[in-house]
Amino acid sequence: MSTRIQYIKELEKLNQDVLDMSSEISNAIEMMSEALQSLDASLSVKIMDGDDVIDHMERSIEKYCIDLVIKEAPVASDWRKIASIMRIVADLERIADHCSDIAGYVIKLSKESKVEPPIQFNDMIKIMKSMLSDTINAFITLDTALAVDVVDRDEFVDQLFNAALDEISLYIKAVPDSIEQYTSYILISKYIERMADHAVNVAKWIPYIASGEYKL
Amino acid sequence: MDTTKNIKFNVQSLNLFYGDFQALKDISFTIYENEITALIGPSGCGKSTFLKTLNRMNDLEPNVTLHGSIQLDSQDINKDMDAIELRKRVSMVFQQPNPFPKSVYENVAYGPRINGIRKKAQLDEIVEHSLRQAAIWEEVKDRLHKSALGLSGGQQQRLCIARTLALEPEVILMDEPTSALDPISTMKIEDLASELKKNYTIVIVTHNMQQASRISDRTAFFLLGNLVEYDTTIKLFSQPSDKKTEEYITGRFG
Repeated sequence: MSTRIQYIKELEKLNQDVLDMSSEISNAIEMMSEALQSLDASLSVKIMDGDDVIDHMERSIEKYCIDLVIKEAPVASDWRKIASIMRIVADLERIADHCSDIAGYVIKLSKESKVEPPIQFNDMIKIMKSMLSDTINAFITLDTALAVDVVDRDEFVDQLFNAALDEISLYIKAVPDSIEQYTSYILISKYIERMADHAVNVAKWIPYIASGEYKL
Repeated sequence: MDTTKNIKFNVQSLNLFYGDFQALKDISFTIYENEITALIGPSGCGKSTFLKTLNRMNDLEPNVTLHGSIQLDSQDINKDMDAIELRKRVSMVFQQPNPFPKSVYENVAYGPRINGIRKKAQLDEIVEHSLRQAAIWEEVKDRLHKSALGLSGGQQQRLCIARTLALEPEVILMDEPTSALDPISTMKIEDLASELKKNYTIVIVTHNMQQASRISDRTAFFLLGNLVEYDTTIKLFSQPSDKKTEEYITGRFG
């Protein structure tokens, strides 16, 4: 007979909360991508406002984890999941922060004369988005192979980031008057690259949740 | 097998029957010196039965048949050893504190005295040393000659441990030693066990999984007479290999 029915429900709720937070972040990335393409200031404001909601989700998941640890003294796979979620939500929240950071630069760019953005952005965002959604899938299904694949994909984002920097420096040399806009684009590229890094951080917890294997 | 540690007990293919009922099924594992080994599992899983085999307390029960071998320091305890000799080396602390209805002093001096120690100075020394080791000296030093039954439950349990220590055993078996105690007394016994393992080997049966995870070095999980899993406590509580262990320690059944 199954026991600890309430506790098991609480663990399920925790899982659901993480999924809800992830889906909120996916929406933010979607909006960020759109705002960046069209330099849409009002959409950017919406992203920045939405960040508070995600911050709050992170804090409440953390609190939920703390309470579960105190009340239930979880062990084994339960503990691995709870401990990992406490770390995972911090990385997810950073991803959302970077969406908001990018939105801030989009607002700035929207007020300046338009320059050509680096061509790598689309691919960077596309790969970063796939990394995040696959990480979340790997978290749900405890698919370690998929998590490893996410980690490997970061290499492509890094390459595109370096290429974007090279391209931007060429633009700056060619059109020094647009240095303000290009500085924004440098920072935006860095944020996208960091978002992929945070997806990697999340993915690295999956093998530990699945099997308890912890690599130093 | 941990080759860096000395083996205290080596149990091989142990099977135990109460009449027709098989209470222990082919149990094999090693208990290491100067460690605390915790035995966990639901009621009726065989953990207390197993504990009792380590100092042949089962000898006293009718209809018990036992196959397999239990070696203490490479000596078969059922073949090469006298039960009294064994119990001097391997002593037991029970769930309910059971001091003799005598003074605190007499409780501790009783064992050494029947072992032939007569000199008062020597007995005094053993009593003080044992009570100090059991972390109860400060609480009883001014009432050594008053009845042990006037002590609190937690103090009585530590007195029983002191009584055990006076006989200088090598191994202390503890059968749910804190289940009748309040949380503070429980913590004192746990601290004491952790202190005592420097000089003794301790095997403890506990229903309290947090207790097992707090104080033991290794944990054995029993279920329906089988030893399901035996590993370091950290490994067993963070990454159990067997699904049944996982289900038990996370409270999915039991």
